[in-house]
Amino acid sequence: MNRDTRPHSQEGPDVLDVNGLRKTYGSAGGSVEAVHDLTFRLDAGELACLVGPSGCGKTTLLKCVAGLLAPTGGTVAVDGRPVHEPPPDMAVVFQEYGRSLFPWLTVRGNVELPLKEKRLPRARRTALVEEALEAVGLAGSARSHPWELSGGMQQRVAIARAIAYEPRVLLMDEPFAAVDAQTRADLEDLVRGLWQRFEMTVLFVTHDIDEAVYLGQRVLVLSSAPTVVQDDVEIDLPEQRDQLTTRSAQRFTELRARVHGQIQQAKQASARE
Amino acid sequence: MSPAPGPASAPARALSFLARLLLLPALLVGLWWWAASGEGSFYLPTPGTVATTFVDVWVSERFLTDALPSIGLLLTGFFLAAVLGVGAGLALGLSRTLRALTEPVLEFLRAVPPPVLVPLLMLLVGLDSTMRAAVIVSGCVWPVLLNTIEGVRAVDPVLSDTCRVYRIRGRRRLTTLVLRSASPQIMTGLRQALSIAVILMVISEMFASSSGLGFAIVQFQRGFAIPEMWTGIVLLGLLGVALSLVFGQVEKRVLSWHRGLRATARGG
Amino acid sequence: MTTSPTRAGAGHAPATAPSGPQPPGRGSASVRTVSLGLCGIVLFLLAWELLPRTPAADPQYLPPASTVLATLAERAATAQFWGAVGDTVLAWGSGLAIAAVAATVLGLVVGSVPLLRAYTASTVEFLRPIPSVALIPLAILLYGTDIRSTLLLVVYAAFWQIYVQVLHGVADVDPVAEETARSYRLGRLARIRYLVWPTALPYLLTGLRLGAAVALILTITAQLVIGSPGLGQEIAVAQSSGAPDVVYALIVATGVLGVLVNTGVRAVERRALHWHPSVRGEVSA
Repeated sequence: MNRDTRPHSQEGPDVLDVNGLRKTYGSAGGSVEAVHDLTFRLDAGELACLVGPSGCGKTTLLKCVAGLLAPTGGTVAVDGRPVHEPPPDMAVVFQEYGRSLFPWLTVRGNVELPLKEKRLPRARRTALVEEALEAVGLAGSARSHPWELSGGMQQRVAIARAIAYEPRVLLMDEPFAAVDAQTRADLEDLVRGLWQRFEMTVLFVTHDIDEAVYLGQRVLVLSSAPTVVQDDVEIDLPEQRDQLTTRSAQRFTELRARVHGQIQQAKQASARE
Repeated sequence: MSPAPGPASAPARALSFLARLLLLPALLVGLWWWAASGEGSFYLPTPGTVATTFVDVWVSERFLTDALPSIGLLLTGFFLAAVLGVGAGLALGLSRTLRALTEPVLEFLRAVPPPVLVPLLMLLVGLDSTMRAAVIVSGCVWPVLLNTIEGVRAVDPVLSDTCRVYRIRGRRRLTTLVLRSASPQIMTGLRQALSIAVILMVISEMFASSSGLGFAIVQFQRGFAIPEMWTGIVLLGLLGVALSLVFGQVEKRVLSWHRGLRATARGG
Repeated sequence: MTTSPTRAGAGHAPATAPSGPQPPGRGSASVRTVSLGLCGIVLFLLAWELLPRTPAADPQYLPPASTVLATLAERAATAQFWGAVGDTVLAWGSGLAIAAVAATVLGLVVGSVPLLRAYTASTVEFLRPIPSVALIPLAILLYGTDIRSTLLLVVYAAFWQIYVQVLHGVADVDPVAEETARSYRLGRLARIRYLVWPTALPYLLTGLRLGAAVALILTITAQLVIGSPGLGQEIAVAQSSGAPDVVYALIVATGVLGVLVNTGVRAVERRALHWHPSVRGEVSA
């Protein structure tokens, strides 16, 4: 299992193509529009963060992209194939780590389960599980049950499960919203490390501007009501990032201010409605 | 040999444990004995009499002819009901339409007190042992069925989404997601079913049978064989306690994850 | 890439968009549920009506629904029927009431005194699983076909259901709240009133719901087997006189009674717990 750390190429083919995505929830008292009209593309191997004010339909968008929800209009395509159900080479890390792990399975069982469904041979499964658990720093907890671990460690298990699955696209839905600040910083570095180590395109949804700027190569800013992509900011920070120097860099502050300004604008726009 | 605090406190702990375990039962048996040895206690033999009669009555062929077949019938009926109830519960729990269609009828059928099935089936086909098993099945299946439905409905949506994302479906989804999530409710249903099974076993034998535990007890009572009747009550009691212990062990194994989860959720 | 900041194109976009999927419209869903449920009832009755008219079932064993319902209506016009219903409800209600009061008082006392709890645990664990039908011969000897026979069985069965739930409820009292109460120097009675009781109430109601169902089962059982007056005894009589339609009609009556008991208890539960944030799950113990 040699997975090279590959060079990031901005010229690669589109892996994820979201075009004119629209989602309305019908109800007896009229319809509610969660996503108005979203269009964006991710290249192979890109790490993009999607940031927006809370309640702007981020989760809905992610569920549509993951094939968990059928969009009302528009298309989602992974590798040129339209998404109607969860595609085989996509993994999702949910915000609710406690509820996305099977409490009756051990950590190993949780990571291995999707691989069993993929009908991989046992030796390959063991190798993948061990590599993934080692990569997230949980090699010693394979036999524990998820509920015996702290919140941050549980989210590491969910990440290990996603990595072992060897996805082309990894979606992360506010994965660190429910962990404490220190754990959160560790997990952010973990995600960047894993992204560099394994060949994946990552779409990382968050409401935290700092997190988005720190993690991403690109930050897509969503406006709320109607939900559209309001700005697409390229993050030209150095590849090698760390919590202390990157966050105190002049450029980081500038980018942060730009995203922040866009979000404020988005909020005002929606308040004017 | 100096009495160090460690070894000295261990026997003390054991003693206090035994006291907690046995003090009240000993007092109650003492009370029973005292009450039974008084005047006018024709219906209440002493514990000693009951114990010796118990050995005479049940440590004999009678155990094989009267008690064992009853227990076998009880377990057969219970297991059939469990399989049926969980199977149908899965089907109904997974289909919204089927559930909406059957819910009012099931609510009614569940509300019918199961013992009324005894005279009905007896009237219709007579109560041989197959029919007695049928009585137990048709009475026990409801709590299992309804609790399974409830458990299947309560599957966590995030976990369900996780399964969809990783394309886990069919049998594996059923066994790793649905059945396991529903297992706490299923176990609750099975426990209710077990006590209904005992009731139905006993009364179907009391009502219409020429053998079995329930029949034997009623025979003793009708013949005013008071100590023997008490041994029957004791045997039924022991059966109930034994079933509950076995069930508790099974439940502990099946739901160990659930206990752990609850304990950590409470501990914060 | 769309970057226009304001896109007020669609006028029906509300100011607060949901972040997650909304439940589908409640009104239409419940209409669908109700109509499907009615369909289910009609189908059930239709099958019951038609099956005896086919060779699959003998009408002597399974009288068609119309016959059974007609018999039930006939019965319902008699005082004897309502007398039996009254006896059944009386035995059920008073048995449940006795069990509930005894179990609540004992449960609160034993539950809040750790020493008592420790010394009674083994006895409770032994007595609780004893099937109350084991007491039938004893009840017959002591009380004959008197209502007290029924009460003995009902109280024994319902008591444990409620008692165990109350114990769980008392054990569920938040230790932080308990310490807070102590630090404000609340006395034992005040602690029970303001702390233990509200915590244990949802558990008590769960126990009551389980106990009510069990009590009905045992009421009917006692009437069937012992012959105390009530619906159970009527069924036994109809059975021995070989009248399947009457047996079916009375079974339907007990089912209706059961539904009333279940919905009644659930209504009480909802009402008493309207302040409670979550509907409690059952304690499987």
